[in-house]
Amino acid sequence: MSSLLEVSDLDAGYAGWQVLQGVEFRAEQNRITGIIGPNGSGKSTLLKAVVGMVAPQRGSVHFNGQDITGMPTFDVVTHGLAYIPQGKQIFPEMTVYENLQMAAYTIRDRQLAGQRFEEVYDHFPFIAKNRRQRAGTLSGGEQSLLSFGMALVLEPKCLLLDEPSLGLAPQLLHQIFETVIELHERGLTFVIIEQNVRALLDIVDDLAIVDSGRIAYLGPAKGVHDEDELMRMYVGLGASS
Amino acid sequence: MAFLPQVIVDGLVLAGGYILIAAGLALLFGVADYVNVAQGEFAMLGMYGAFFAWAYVGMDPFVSVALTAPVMFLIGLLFYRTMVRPVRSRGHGTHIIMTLGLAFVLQNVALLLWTANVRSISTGYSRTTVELGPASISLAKLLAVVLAIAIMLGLTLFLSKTLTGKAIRAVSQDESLAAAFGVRVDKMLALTSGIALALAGAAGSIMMSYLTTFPTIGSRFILFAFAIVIIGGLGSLKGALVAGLVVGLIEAVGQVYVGGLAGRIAVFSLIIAFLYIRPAGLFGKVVL
Repeated sequence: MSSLLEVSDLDAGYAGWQVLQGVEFRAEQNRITGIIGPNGSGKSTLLKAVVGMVAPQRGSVHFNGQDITGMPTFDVVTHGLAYIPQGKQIFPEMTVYENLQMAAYTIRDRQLAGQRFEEVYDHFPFIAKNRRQRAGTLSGGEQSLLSFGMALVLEPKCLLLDEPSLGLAPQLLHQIFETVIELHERGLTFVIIEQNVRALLDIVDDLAIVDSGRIAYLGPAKGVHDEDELMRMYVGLGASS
Repeated sequence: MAFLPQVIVDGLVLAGGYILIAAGLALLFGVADYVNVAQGEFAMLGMYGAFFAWAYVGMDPFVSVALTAPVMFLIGLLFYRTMVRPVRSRGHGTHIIMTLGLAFVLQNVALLLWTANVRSISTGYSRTTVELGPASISLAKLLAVVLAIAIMLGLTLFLSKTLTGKAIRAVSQDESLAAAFGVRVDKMLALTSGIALALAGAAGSIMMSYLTTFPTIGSRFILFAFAIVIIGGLGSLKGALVAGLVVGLIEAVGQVYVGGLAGRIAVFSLIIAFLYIRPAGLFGKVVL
């Protein structure tokens, strides 16, 4: 059985700086896959290479049976793969509605975009209510939900999140993960990078550990119950390399 | 203070040209985080373009805007490829040294090709004046102000209403988020660079209707343009508009009531004051 997202033997990085080396990564349909690893290990680069924001130097990326290796981002997002990068995750100086419009940037059919907006409003009524408000004036939690709403405009099969908790109050992470679970129950596949490992372990089905540009572990998260065990795995990895 | 209305009108005229030049500076900084010290020279090129269009085919400077702006837009795309993109990530110091070098090159090329002679245009309506209540203004200057306002209005509408304009604002606020939703960031930056230089070209054509030009006139423009973006806030179009009016008025008032270079001394003192008290300018580095 083939995975929804399949990365094989991937090398990627930036000019004169190779970050990923022979990465093998898979995300299965309808599952939540967590990615953890030390800072600078290449977690973000992996997601960026998948969506075409970093050009792969070697290897391949397949999504939903299609070869998307090196496909530019504006094409990738039309294939059912959405990515929310690290950071504020919204455009703070634009209105809520303009944020949705930017999310729909690749959808040239205005009517279709309008339908997608309505679906997002159904899911997050506060977005409809605050359409004309500047997005930066929303509460932190609402901003996070807006970024989900923006991703949903693309009607993705799979959503890649790069550290959704970064810079947020800890209790907001639970709200974000609740939304993840809810969307997951509606059939969305997730790949999530998160530093808050304890919270991440509560929701993921599979876990990948990235270390020094390689996948050090990829498999069910079941076996990994707590951070102590994870630490032992890390130490074990460190000792074996 | 009998002259005051007249002084205000003169200040507005000065402001019109400065605002267009400064808006290009603010736009490129706000979107591409790039400092372009050669913006004054691009306006100088616009002025010479307007001059030669008038000298050779008798084209009115307000008509040649339709020529200088698009040509400068194309030069802006070339400028992006050769001088912005390769060094954008290397910091403002690198941008300033690169574009300062370019400014000197352009000044000297202009000197070589077109000599140091002062050039001016005289149109059929050069001597026509319009009475505006207690003040009077030459028709050329009135048209210049109206056209400058129209261009700024058009730019604002483009950025706030069109999808492409919104994409440019999105890039200025968060490049990687914009890219994640499929905005071609590189294209938007090239477009922004084109628009910034088109603004300089348009400013040049417009100012040619009432100013004289010479190869080093750009260095005067750039000082005022930087005064405007420092006072208004780097990267802020609204700031460029407000500060442009302030700077134009101060210069005009200083010239009339104190004389000589008093207006400029006041403007540059104001820069120093702003750098002390409010280094982010009136509108901070609020992006578009």
